[in-house]
Amino acid sequence: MLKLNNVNFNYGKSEILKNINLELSKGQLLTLVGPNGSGKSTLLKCINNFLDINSGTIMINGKNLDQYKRQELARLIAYVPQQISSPFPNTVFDTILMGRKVYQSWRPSHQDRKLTAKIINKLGLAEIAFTKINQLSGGQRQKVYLGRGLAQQAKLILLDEPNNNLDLKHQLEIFNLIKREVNQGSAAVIIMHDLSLASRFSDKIVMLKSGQVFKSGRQEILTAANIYAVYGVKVSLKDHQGFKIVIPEKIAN
Amino acid sequence: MSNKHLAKDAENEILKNAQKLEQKNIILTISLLILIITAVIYSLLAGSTKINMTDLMAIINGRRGMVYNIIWNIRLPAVLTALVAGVGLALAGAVMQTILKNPLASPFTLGISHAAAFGAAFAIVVLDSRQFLKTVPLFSNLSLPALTAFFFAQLAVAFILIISLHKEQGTETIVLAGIAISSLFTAGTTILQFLADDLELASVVYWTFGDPGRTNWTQFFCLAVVVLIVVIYFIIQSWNYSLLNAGDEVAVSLGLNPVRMRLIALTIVSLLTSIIISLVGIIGFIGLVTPHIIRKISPGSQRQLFLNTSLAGALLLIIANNLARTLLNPVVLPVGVLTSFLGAPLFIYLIIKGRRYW
Repeated sequence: MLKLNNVNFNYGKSEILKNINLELSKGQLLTLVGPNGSGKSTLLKCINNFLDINSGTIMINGKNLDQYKRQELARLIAYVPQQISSPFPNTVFDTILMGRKVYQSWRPSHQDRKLTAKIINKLGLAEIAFTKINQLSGGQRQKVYLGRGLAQQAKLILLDEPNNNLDLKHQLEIFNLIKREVNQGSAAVIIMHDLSLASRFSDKIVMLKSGQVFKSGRQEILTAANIYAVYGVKVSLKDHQGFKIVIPEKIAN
Repeated sequence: MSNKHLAKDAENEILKNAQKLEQKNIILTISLLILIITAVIYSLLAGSTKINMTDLMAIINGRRGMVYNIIWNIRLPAVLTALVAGVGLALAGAVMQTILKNPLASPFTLGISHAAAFGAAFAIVVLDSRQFLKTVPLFSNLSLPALTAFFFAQLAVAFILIISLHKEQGTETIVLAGIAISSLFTAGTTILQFLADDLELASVVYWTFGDPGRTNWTQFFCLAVVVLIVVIYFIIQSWNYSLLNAGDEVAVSLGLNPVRMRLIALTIVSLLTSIIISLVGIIGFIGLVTPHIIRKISPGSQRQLFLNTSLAGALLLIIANNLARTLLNPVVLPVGVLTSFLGAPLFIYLIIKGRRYW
């Protein structure tokens, strides 16, 4: 589904991403972890074709990203941002309906509206379908953004810290929804800071450090030594039902 | 009832509510159209010479004479110019606010109006308008102040576009640059006014007032064609422009090129604004306030916002033009001053009371 070969990206003279290689198949959830400034968001923006890479290749379904038309790519990749504030907030319905733009040129069809209503109901947002998104809680808003991604019916969903500022219930709801989509044949790349959640939900974890892949693999790479090397924090790890719980202990001197 | 049926019911309820909202906006559109027609008819009848409906019907049936001349040569071009200028200015405001994601964006904020005012003052004070018009017959339909106003407005537009092409500059920079342009051209106009003699000073002040009654039929038709094309373009493109609200990264993932869209929209609305201002002078607040009024009355899709804002802009300018002509009859007040008098308190009210909808 997604393959990155030696991807490099520079902002002016500073190298942000260096020789990034990663691969993701259909039905997999990949988590990008790493400290702030390690290049996670930049990598996501490169995959989203928002930023042009300097060298290397990003392939989607065996075809280079450059070879796709914008509209084609929009039907393949959905991007779910962190919370965005806008002076003119849309309603929940209109925000989710935006996802259908990739299939229509100038106005949404009745089918688009029907699908939007279906997604709203599925996400449990029916009561607030016509509320402006600036009046929603962080968790509800995140669901709306995810809903827009789902309306796109893309095969690859990119999510930038979807659990940021969410309470436990909303975090679980969001990840269950993502996991359900992935199980139905999509793939997802998620930026996350919570390593315990990463262990629980990911099929693959990529640890980034200073713009480079430090380690990638399954949850086994979440070792105290690797976490120390990447974050500079001593942690203790506990196994719980096959997943790892990461407890931060001490900042390295 | 099964879960499947319950879900279907909930979905139908959502669709029904979406339809209700759309119908509300359609009712608003129809109401605005009816109000515009009423305001146009009233504008033809009201003024220093009282004309009644019987006279109007007689003229429609072919009667000619003084009343016909008043309506055909004075009132009708003025009210129709007010209509299309109102549409253009309000739409320009709505588009600018959308693409710059800034509730304060308008042709005024970007400095286009001030640049045009400087251009007109430059023609009146520095250039010899009459001499110029004799030598360039092509422009005999237009006044020299209108041409120079257009030229300087284009300078401001070019400056804004150059800034917007800079990748690193955000939309806030465009608005801030607009404020700087406004100050620069206002200072220039002040110097020209300082250097002008009494007659020139009076002309400069008169030009900056803004008056839809300045245009002739040719100028009106040119303006109407431009406004119509721009309205159709933005109505067709409205869904695309609404996506800019979601942020550039999302817009890209939805298959759009936000930088190019912003550039195209800025170019179109800036050109539109400079054409309107060069023909009718400066009319403030229509572009700034009208989109906010529509958002407050009936929030809907971007298409409905563009359409209803355009119609509301037309209505406001026709009403303002009427008030300007009749309030202190027989003295005709400058319509630009009136729109500011009405617009400023309304805008203050909106920002204090109505911020929830932003």
